[in-house]
Amino acid sequence: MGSTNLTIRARLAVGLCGLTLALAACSAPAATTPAATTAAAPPAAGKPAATTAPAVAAGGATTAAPTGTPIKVGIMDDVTGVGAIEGALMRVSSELAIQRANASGGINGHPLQPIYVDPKGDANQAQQLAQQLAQQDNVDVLSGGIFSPECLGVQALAAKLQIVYVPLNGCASDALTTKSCDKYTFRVYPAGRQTTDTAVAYEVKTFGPKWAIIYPDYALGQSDLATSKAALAKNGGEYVTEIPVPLGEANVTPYVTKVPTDGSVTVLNVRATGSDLARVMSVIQQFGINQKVAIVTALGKESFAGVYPEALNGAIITGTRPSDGLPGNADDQKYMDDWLALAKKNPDLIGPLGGVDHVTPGNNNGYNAYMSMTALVLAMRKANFTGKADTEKLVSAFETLTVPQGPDFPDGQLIMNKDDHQGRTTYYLLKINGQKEEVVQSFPADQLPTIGDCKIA
Amino acid sequence: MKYASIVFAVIIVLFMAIVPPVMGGYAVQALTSYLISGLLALAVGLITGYGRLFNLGVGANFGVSAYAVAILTHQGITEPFTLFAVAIIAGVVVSLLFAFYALIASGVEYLMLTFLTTLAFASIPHAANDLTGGDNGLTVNGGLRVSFGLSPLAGNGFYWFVLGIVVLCTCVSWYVLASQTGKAIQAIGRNPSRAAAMGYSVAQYRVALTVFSSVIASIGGWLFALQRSFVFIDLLGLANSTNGLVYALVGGVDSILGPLLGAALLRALTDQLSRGSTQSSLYIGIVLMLVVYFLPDGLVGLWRSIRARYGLQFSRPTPELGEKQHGIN
Repeated sequence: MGSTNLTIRARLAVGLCGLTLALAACSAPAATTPAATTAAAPPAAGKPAATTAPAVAAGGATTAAPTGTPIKVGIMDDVTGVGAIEGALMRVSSELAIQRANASGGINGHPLQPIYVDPKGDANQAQQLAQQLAQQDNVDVLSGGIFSPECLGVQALAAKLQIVYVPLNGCASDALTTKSCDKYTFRVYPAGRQTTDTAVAYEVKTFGPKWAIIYPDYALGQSDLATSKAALAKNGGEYVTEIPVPLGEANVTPYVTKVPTDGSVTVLNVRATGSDLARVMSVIQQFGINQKVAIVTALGKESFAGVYPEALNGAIITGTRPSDGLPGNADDQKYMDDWLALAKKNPDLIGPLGGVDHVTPGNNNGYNAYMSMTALVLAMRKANFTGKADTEKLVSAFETLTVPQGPDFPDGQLIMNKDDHQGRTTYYLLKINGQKEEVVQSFPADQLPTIGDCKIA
Repeated sequence: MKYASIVFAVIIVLFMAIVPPVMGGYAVQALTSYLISGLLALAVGLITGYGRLFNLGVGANFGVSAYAVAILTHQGITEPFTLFAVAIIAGVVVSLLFAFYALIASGVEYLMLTFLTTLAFASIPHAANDLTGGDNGLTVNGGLRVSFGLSPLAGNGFYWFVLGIVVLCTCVSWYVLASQTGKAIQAIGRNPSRAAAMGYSVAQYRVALTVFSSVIASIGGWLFALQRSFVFIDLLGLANSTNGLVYALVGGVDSILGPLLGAALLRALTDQLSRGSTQSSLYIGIVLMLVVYFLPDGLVGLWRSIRARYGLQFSRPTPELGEKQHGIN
């Protein structure tokens, strides 16, 4: 009887597992190949956007669809899990850049073919999938990853496989282009002291030298503390209060309420990210701390589901573009329109970004992913890249890439640094006014400092 | 009967040694990774399935050994035998802590102690940023020298090396469990009071089993560091331990081949679904729930039930590869 029951159970198990796997197979795919269609299509979650026919292409006038051998780009995009916000921004932005590239002739006649995988923020899975992309799918370039261990792990793998790796957004650890810098990795958007040094001078002058900081107590937060402390010291400021918040702490009230509101500090630097940032801002608002001290932070509207909390009114944020674009800049307006059009046709994907009513490419992670993919496209074109065999040519072209502000880079110039493969782009200091952002100051790419002293051999 | 089992095992090993390299491509690299995960699962299976000690810290053994390799290479030590020795010693040192828990606690108390210790281990990299790389993780330096000149990314050499070690670990585990010591361990696992009444030193056997399974996990951690050339904080945390437990449960926790099989199947499934769907976590979760509910003895249990139903009898039911262990009861 027991044996019979077990057999029935076993049959049921096998049948249900099969059904589940069949459902999985029929669901939205994460790994995709672009359809060579002629109609523009939205980048459905897990599905490729059609790679032709947007009205305006990144490189200029629309040309015939590329017909050469596809150039495969493996993209590790954490669209599920704790990186879902950055993952959604990465998906829409990279699809837009690829659409535009293919609409303007691809890579000298070769279409770009994205293959997406979802490591879910798991460094082990990211490395495994990156290896699979490189060795099974034979992608020509690796890109993506959001969290530092993912990016640094893939960087180590890419160096061994001798394949170019381009983080698209996130991957904010200094280490990537400082002590870990290597020949095959290129980070296009600013990071580390490039983002702090630029803003602190203005903030000290405007709000005063006595600061408090609340930061996540792990590598990225500690790195933020060190770089901002050094920048403060250079500008005559100091941290009076430092408040580390343990990783994954759900109750941030005891930490936020340590911020002095007796006038001993005039500025609070909030370095939290993701859902931690929303929690911290909620408590700041609850206790009226924003009424007593000025708030400075980095991430913008995209981290708040497209709607700024009241506590951020008057706060200073930084980024590679204003969330709503540069006023009067037609190229930026076109980028914004195209981006939103793609995003809004895929409501499932953009749920974490506030849905169709509030979605925005934001001031950092959306535009960073677009810039990074566009820079890769331009470097491939410059190198006459046709596949992995041309990796050395691509490395040479990428490390000397400079792009002026224009249709490809609507919010400012890009300068790649040959020494560490770290990019510099125009950087903005923005003041939040209700739901709007006012540009307080902009820093051209050539005024940003280099991130470290790494020298690629 | 025993002979038939040995022949079956040899055929499997020969198949594993020949077919994937002949197929070539990514299959060899994927299998290498699955075999390494299999060692973690085997360690979990030994301590949980046979010893009935619900240790949630086996992943910490794995992680500490992997970190030991990475840290040493950053100190300029890349001699492969030294790395191996230190990785095993580091794992064994950690296992002594868990062995101590096995002496002073049992049941839920033991589970909670190992759980909390694992959480503590996951915090170590944050507390020692410079040494461990903190949240960023740490690369393994030294190039191919650390892996005896074998490339984990190209060719078949590293795959055969890992396969050989896994086969060795499997054989040693089988030998241990088939011995009088192994039978005593199983008896203690099933009913420690009764085993103690029969004169077995429960504490001594539990310490021995904890250290033995730790060595298996440490070998896995050492190989992981060589293969990936990168270690990161998640290796020390609860997730790594629970992964090992899930692999073992899916394959069959009270067998030797079951955990290896579970690791391979679940890793392959995870890899494929991560490419095939944006909702892969949901589907993997459903599959796991179904397996746990309908196949409480895992895939090996399913095989046993099929064999019992159709009268297939390749071996005696005592300690054979992939065979349910009855031992002293």
